[in-house]
Amino acid sequence: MVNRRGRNLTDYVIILSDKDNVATSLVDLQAGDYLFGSGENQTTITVLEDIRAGFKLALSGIGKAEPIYKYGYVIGLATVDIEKGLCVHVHNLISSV
Amino acid sequence: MSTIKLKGYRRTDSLFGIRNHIVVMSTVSCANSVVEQIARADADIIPITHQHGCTHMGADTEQVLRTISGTCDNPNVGGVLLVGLGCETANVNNIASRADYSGKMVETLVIQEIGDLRKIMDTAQGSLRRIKEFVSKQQRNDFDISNLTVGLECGGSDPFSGITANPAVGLVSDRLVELGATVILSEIPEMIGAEACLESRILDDAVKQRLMARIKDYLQKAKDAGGDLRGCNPAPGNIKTGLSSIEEKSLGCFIKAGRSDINEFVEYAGHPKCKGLVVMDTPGNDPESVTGMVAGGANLVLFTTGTGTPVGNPVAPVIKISSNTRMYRRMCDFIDIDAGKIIEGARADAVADEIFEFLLDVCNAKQTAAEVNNCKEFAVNRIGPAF
Repeated sequence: MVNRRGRNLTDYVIILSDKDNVATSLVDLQAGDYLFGSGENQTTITVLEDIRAGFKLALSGIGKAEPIYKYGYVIGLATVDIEKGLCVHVHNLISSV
Repeated sequence: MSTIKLKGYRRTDSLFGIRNHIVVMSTVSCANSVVEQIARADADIIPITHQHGCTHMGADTEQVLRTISGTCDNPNVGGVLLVGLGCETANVNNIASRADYSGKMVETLVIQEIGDLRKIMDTAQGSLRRIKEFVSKQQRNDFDISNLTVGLECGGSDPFSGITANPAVGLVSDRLVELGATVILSEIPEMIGAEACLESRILDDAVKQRLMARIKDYLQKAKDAGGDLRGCNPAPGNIKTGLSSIEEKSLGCFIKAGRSDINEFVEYAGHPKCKGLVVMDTPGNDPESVTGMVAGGANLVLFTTGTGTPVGNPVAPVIKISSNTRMYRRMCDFIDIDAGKIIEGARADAVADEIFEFLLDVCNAKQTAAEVNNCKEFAVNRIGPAF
């Protein structure tokens, strides 16, 4: 469970490449959780909906039809505008193959 | 040069078994019940049955024959009784003549030639007595780890597979390659979307072109079948865990192949000619993929899983590695090593060491969870229809 007062981003999600615009949650995140980066990564994110461990969190706003990066590679395209802090999964991502 | 010595059953100068199994192999589905009855008398005898062996054609027939004969010729097998019906394509002589079966004993039995069930059982028990006597005289000899072939598999992937279990297995794969062993990566559909990573690792242009063409071919087949790979691969179970697309699944899968160059692209159930990392043409279906690698000579398989699976193989130990601790706790009977602890802070190289040590123990006779649980899936990948 994430402390609602805010916690270090990398303790709760993993970002697999600098190029990525999604992170994988390592714990069950809840709407309202506030995560902040440290060191070079000064990102701050308010989690906008519950995101279960293993699911993806948008690290930035992703426009409709824009590529979604994980592991530094494209894993699909956004089917709608995705706000930073939302869960990214089959409801808003489509395979690009 | 490697200094790691293992104990195994010598088949040729460069092929050693880490088990000395006796197999009763059905050459055609019509013989399955008889095969099961023959093997029932002795728990140490492994029956292998399947749905194939007749009414297939051309390359499909070749693949079925190669898989059946390759399984019998796996170095982990010391003795084989081939049981056929008599009128099938994959008849016992066809299977017996396809490999040299060095360092092992092979006998055949044809149901239609003997006729009577009691006589069939008596004949089979006579064969098995001779095979058991032959196998019991074989001793384990020292062999170098460079003579080992290891298959890689992932099944029931989840988003942690590419973060925990596959990176740890990737380190093990690189270490095996450095030691001169052969490592087989499989599951071509799970390379769709990871082509850019793959391409940079293939030095030989012909190998690169063939593999890339095969990946495209699988993608086209999926489209021809009426859609994209969604809903089929990733499977509903993958999606439930948070995997969203075949690209995401593929990129996570490919990490288990470490950082070594890919030296060869070998057909389903074919024997790699190269050492080091090779790719085999298998589907993502786990039992079919594992069966293909074992028929191609894999002594054992490293199998990572996120959702958990019992899948094993009749002749090769399968080592299960969980990607998350939640599943490991729920399915610990089926799992050998939990890589999920990487999420809690364990180092991937420490988990890789644990996997490597376990692999050495398995080579030296330690039983895997799949062996203890008697999980022995055998599934042939068919590439044509039955007529």
